[in-house]
Amino acid sequence: MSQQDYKEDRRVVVDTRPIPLVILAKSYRFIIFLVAAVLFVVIIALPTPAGLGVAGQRALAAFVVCLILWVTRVIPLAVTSLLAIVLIPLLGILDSSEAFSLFGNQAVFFILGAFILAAALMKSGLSSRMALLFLRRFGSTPRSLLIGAMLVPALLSFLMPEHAVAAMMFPIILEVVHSLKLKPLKDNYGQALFLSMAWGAAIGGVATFLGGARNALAVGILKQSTGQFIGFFEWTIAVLPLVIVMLVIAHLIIGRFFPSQITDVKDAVVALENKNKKLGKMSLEERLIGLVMILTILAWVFLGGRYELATIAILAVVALFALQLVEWKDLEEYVNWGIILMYGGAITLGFALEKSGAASWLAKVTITSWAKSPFLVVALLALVSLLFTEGMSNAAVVAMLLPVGLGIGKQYGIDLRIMVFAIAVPAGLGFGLPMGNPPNAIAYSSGYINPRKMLTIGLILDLVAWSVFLIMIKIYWPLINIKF
Amino acid sequence: MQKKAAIIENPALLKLELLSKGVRLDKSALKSEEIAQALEIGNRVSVPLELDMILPGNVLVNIAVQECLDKDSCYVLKNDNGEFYITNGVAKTRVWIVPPPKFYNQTTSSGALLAKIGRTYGNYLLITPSGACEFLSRDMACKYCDVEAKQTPDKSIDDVLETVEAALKEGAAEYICFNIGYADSEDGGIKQLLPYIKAVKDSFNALICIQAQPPASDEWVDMTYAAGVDSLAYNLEVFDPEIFGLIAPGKKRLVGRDRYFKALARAAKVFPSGAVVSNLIIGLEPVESTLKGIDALAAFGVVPTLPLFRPLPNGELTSYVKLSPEAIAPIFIHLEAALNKNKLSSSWINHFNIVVNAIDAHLFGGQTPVKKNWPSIFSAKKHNKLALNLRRRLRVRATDNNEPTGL
Repeated sequence: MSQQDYKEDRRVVVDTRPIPLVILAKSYRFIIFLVAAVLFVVIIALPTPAGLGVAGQRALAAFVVCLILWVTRVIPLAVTSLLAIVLIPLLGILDSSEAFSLFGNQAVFFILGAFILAAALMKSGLSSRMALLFLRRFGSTPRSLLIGAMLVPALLSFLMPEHAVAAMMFPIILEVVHSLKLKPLKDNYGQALFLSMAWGAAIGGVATFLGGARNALAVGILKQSTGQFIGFFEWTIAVLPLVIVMLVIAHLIIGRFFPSQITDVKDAVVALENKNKKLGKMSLEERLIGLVMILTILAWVFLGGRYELATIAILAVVALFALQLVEWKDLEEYVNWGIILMYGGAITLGFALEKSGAASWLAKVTITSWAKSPFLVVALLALVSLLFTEGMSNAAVVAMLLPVGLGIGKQYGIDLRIMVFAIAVPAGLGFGLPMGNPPNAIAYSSGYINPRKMLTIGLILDLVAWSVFLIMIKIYWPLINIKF
Repeated sequence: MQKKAAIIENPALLKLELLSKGVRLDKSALKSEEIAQALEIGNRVSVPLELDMILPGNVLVNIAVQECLDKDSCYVLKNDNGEFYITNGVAKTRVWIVPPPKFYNQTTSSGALLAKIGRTYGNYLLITPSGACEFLSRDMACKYCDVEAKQTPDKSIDDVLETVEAALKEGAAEYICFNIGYADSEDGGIKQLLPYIKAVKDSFNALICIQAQPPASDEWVDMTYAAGVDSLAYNLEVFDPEIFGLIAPGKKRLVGRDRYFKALARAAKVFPSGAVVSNLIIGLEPVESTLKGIDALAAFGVVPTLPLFRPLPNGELTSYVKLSPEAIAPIFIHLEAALNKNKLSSSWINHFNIVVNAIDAHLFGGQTPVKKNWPSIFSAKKHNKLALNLRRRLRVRATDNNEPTGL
């Protein structure tokens, strides 16, 4: 970047390593592009393997290019998705009208609707009010405040994207920490509060389509590729026990590794009270937004079978505008348009892999060739998803693994809903690294969290989450008629 | 007598004397065209007269013209048939007056006198875009500072650009140096300079230096470099912690001494070697303390600059440490050794004529001055602008906060 490109809204970092290392690091993008281009050409030029058509081979080449770009993030995720949308017709895998029309998938519009609803909640201050209301009820002892710091974001993540919940909770927790005069990195209780917030939001985010948009993306890919569907209520019923167990375990683990050295949280309670007073009385705008939100969720639960979830979401958005509860400029501030583009491209690529037969072929030559049982396959995929999400975008993990996962599911005759859960749910449960989950990154930015401790305890929690997930598959899902 | 003669004969010692005591003009000097020009400019800008002068050995100095305060050691500038001499009554030495830049007499499109926008010191064009400083407004002014708390309008970017253009065109400056007072915000005041820096960098291929107070976060140090600044000064002024608090109460209370060291250490990592400097004013604290300060700063990778304290006419610092040139000279020899030990070059300040630099320090030991054609001593070709810009392009990364990390 030169001084001409300098903008205040961009964070600037000066690389102080020796110049040869800097040059090497700078060449990283070029090397990645080169590797992607070479692999693309090689895959296209190789003789078509048995069991794979030319279209499948080309889809595989496009998939590899997108995979490299998604994982390395040398260009924004959304731009890689746009590349996928144009590569697919360019390579003759789908015709261009079909490829572009896939962007209009209902999952994309559901996500758009969910983002707009969340924007209305945040803009009106209703989400902050809810957070403060719940948190105040918990804040009598250090232990109960800690429970609140985890439970409140978890519950809010049922309704809003987890990153929005974490961003909203962050200043509240920061105020609590300041009021208790906790020192960054030194005081266990400060670390415990921020980790509770981050992990609570992440765990809550897997419970519904609203918490983690990747859930809706996964269902969108499933529907586009196979015609099968998972309803709003059905998803939550399947995942809720995992959420409850993980919240309890996460709280116990935090309590074990960050024993509190404080005995009194009166100052925090006062700070929360003051913050609540500043909000004043609940406005008519907040009440109406709350009403629209409740009606929308009820419609998703009870009318989800009759109407598309996206249809309900978009109607709710129209209602928000009709009642003048949001303005377009609010959406520009709160809605992450890039992620919507990213999801559209991922769905298109997933469909192309499925339709061209590349997904099935890839499944055959990878896991299917040596995995002996469907359970082992699912366990392995869940573990891969969990580990990948620590280092890369949750949505990219879903976009990358799900088409292959669906192919594997078909090979084994596994209920494809299991494959969706096995990939999408662990993709939201990265606890160890700041980049594992948006709430982790937000909590880490406080400066209170020791990264080494976060990694150690987070990885333990990753393994616990994986184990709980497998137990749930074995014991709970058969009870709700989700079987291998 | 011998001592007085020795000072006149050694240009580095003479520079020290002239910096601290100034010079008085003889009637013969007043008749010369160079002095007349300088006087005219001084009158138009309403600032005390200062003369840029070259002493034997290509030693640059900026001298205040003032009445003699100490009758025993007066320095007088004389003109003998077009040749200038400085004498202390015992001996005399030839000097060369650098005529004031021609651009001083020009005005900007808005009618402002260019000399009021920026002034040259050696090959530095010093511009203070805003007179605001919270040390002054909060009654915590540094005791050595002669800036008055007055509300002057900020200089416009257009006026600054016209001044820079005129100075560069004339060859009167190669470094554009911005000076800014303290602002009690995370950036410490640097934010105010950014539009000026951007405008100058966009319009000219010039080297930019700034003098500011350390920002509250290192992120602003990085941003300063990213914005196009080539050299930076966070001036500590005094090393001794106690004297620091007494002399610079605003610096101590609003910034903090530790913050100076932390910000300087970060800046030394971010900027090219030798491009981060910090003042330690000689005469405000015991010599031992100054020597410790030199060592501490140099160890961080910061080049100490050592201006001499000039007592203010009505200033509070009446009991400052009065040092003879012989007592001061070892400080500069120590400076040179500290720079060598830490492999630091003082090239960024070699042509800043209001301080004694390491090149001058060579002369304290009576070494032969480096032979140079004196007009060429202003050249800053040592600093390859292309290489400096390439370095910045390589080192600076911008992270887009809008990228949905981990979503």
